[in-house]
Amino acid sequence: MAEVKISTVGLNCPKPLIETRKAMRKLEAGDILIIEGDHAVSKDEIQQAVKDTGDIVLGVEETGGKWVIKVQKSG
Amino acid sequence: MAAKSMTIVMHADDLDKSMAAFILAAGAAAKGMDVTMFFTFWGLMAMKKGGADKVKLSKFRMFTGFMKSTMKKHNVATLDELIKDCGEMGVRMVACEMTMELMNTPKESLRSEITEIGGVGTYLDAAGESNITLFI
Repeated sequence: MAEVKISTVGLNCPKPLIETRKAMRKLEAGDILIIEGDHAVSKDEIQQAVKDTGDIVLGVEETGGKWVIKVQKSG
Repeated sequence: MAAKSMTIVMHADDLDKSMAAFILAAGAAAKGMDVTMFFTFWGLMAMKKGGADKVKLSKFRMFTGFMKSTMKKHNVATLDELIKDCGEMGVRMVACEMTMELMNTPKESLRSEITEIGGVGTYLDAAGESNITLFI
């Protein structure tokens, strides 16, 4: 299982969502994607989009305006 | 929960309207939806190679350059970048065959994200199965 990390820090709507999806498309089932960012609205939107595509949100952390979302590609 | 499928008729070639359309398409694709964009008239002209860099605002057209630099300052993606992203995420982009003929626009003059040529039937088949249909 691969673990991939991407940064969307500084990017504006809808780029964090796009970069997440593009990265997820390259992964295999079971792989982990870690997304870093600071665009407030995208923090929730990414989690919803990940659920919409049937993938799994493993966790979210937020510190001082920056957030990290950990997701897993489902089978 | 996202809808399953979205279809957009892209008729306009204004920067602001094109941005809106491709942001919607990108967002829908990111949520796992099947997205079809049908490009007709001016909308198809914006999909000619280099066309995305030439489009102007629908209002205050002379301030297009200023708006572009403001968007850059705020880290908003360019129209060209959004079109590439949509292509990469599998958005289906269809060129209107009749417009191609009317406006002397052969397939080679269109950007590579356009993978299909079709007519009103192509649009209706996609729209008929869509939860969301938009005309921009």
